[in-house]
Amino acid sequence: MARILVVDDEPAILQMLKMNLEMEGYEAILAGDGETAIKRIEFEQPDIVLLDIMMPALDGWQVLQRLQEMSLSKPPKVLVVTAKGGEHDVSKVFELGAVDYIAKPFDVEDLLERVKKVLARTEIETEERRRQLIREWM
Amino acid sequence: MSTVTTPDRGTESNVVRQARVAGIRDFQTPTLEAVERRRWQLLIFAGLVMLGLAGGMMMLTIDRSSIDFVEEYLPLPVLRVLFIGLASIIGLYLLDKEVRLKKLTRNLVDERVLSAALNNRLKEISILSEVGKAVNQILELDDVLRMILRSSLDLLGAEEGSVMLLEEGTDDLVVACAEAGNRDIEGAVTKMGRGVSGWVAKNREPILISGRAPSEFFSDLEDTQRSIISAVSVPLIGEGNLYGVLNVNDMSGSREFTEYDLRAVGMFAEHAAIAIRNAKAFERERQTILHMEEVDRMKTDFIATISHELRTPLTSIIGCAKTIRARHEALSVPQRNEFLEMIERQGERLLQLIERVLSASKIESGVAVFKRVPVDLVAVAQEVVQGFKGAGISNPLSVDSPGIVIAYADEPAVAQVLSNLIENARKYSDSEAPIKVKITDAPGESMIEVIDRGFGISSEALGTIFDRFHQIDQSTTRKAGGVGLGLYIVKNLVEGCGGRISVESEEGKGSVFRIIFPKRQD
Repeated sequence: MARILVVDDEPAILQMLKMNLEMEGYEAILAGDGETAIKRIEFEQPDIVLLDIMMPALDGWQVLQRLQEMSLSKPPKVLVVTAKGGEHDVSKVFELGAVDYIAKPFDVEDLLERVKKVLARTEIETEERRRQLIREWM
Repeated sequence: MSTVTTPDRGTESNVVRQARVAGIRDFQTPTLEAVERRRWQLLIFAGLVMLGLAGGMMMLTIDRSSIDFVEEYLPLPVLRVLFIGLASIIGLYLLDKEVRLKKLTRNLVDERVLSAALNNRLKEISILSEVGKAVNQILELDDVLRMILRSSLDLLGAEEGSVMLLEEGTDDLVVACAEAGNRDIEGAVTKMGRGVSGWVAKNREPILISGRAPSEFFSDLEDTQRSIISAVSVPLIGEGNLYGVLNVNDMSGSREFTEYDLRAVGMFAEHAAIAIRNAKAFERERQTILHMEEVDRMKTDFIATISHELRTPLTSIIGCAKTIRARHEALSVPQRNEFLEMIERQGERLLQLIERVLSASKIESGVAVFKRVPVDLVAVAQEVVQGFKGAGISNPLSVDSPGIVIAYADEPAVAQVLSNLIENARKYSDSEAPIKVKITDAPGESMIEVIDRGFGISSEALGTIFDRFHQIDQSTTRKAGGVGLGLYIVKNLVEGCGGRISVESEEGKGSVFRIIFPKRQD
C-alpha cells in the first residue's frame, strides 16, 4: 500500500485530501508545515509527497531544497500543489526535482489520477532497476 | 563690464606700425620683451658712438702731432663743427627712437590689460554658460548647489562661500552647501532677518561688504561672521520667489571684493535660482513617481494575495463537493456531513473576505456613512465577544468594564472594529493565549483596549500596520490568512466615528490596540 504525505497549511484541504486518498486505498499522512513535512519524510519514507508552496516558516521551495540535500536512499516523488501559478514557478518546480505540478483550485479526480500515474511509473522504474541489479550481480 | 575691442587683423595695427618704425624686426607680434631688447640695442649703439667720439677727442687733446696731422687736411674749426653736428644727429636719432619705444610700451601694456580683461570676461561667460547648462540638464539638487558654489568661487577667485536655502513654509535659512575651510557649517540654520544672509534674504537685495562688517548695521552678527573681511552676498530669486542666499567670503584679507564682483555674482544668481527651482521640481516629481510605484507594487501584491486567498477556500469547496458527488455511496453519513460542513465554513470564509474588500473600497470611495449617536461600548463589546464564544474560539475571552460606558459613535462600525481586532489577536496568538477587551471611562473620552498575549509586532512594522494592503510579512500572513485590509479598515472606521487608534506592542509579549472615542457629538 502506497504511503502519501500531504503537506498544506490549510486544514480543510488536508482533511479533504486525506479522505479521498484513503478511499482510494492509500495510506495518507499529513503535515501542516514544512518542518513537520521534512521530519515525516525522513522517518516515515512516503512514496509520494503532495506539497503546497505558500506555507509559513519553511515554504515549499525550501522543503524541495532540503530534500535534495538530504540524499535519502529512497527519495519520495514530489507533486507540487499550489495556488501560485506563474510560468517561472512551473519551471522552478521541475528544476528542484518535483515530478508534477498541480494548480489550485484542483480537480480531486485529476489529482488522484496523477498520483496513480506517478505510482505506476515508480513501480516500473523500481522493477527495471531490480532487473538491472540482478543482471549486474549475475 | 568695460567694452573691449579686439585687434583688427586685416589692416596693420597701430602697435605693429609703431614697432616697425621703432626698428623692431619681429614686429608681427610685438611684445614688451622685444621693445626691451631694442632699447638695449640702441643703448649699446649710442655707447659705441660716444666711445668713438670721446676717443677721437682724447687723441686730439693728448697728441699735438696728431692735430698738426689733421690740420693738414681739415682746419680745426671745421673739425669742431663736424664733431658737434655728428653728436647732435646721433643724439636726436636716439631721442626719437626712445620716444617711439615709450609710446609702444604704453600701447603694449594697454593691450595686455585689455586681453586680461577679455580673459576674465571669457571665464565669466563660460561659468555662466555652465550654470545655464545645469538649469537645462536637471541635476540632483545637491549637485546643482555644489556647482553653483564652485562656479561663484571660481568667478570671484575666492576660497570660501556658502549656499543657503530657504526652508519652504518657514523663515529658516539652512546652509545647504558650503566651502569654509575646516569649519563644518552645512546644516547650520539662520532666521530670516538675522545676520548678513538674513538681511539679504529679508530685503531681497544683494550686499557688498568691504572691510569689516559694520556692527551698527548688523548688530546681531555672530563671531565667525564678524571675522569676515570682505564678502558678497546675493539673494537667489527666480520668477519672484526667494530660494535662498549665495554668499562668497574672504576671511584672510587677501581679496577685497568690488562692485564689479557684486554685479557678476548677481547675474550668476539668477541662473542659480532657476537651477535650484528646477532641481526641486525634479525632486518632487521623483518622489511622486516613487510613491506611485510603491502603490502599484502594493496593488500587485494585493492582487496576488487576494487571488491566493480566494483560491484556497475554493479548492476545499470544489474538492469537497466533487468528493460527495463521486463517492456518494461509499461515504458514511458523518463523513458526508463533515464534507458539507467544510463547504459551509469555507463559503463563509469567502464571504468574509469579499465583505472586507467591499468595506475597504466603500471607505475609500467615501460611500460609507457613519452615524454619531450615543452607544454603550460595553454592550457592543459583550455582544461581539459572545459571538466569538458561540463560534467556538479557543482563546479565553473576557470583557473588563465598569458597567456602562457611553461614547458617540456608529454602533455597527464599533462592532466591526472590535471583531476585527479580536480576530487579529486570535490569529497572532497561540490558541490558548487570553484576549481581553478593557473599556474605561474618562472625562470627555471613552477608551477601548484590546489586549493580547500573542506574538507581538516588531518596532519596524508598527509604523505601517495601519496602511492599506500592508502585511507584516508573508510567512505570518500565510499562517493567519487575510489580505492586509483588516487594520486599514479598523483605522478608517474609528476615524470615521471621530475617534483615534494607537498600538503598543512588544515582540513575544503581545499587543495592545487602544481606541479612543469622543463623548461629544461634534
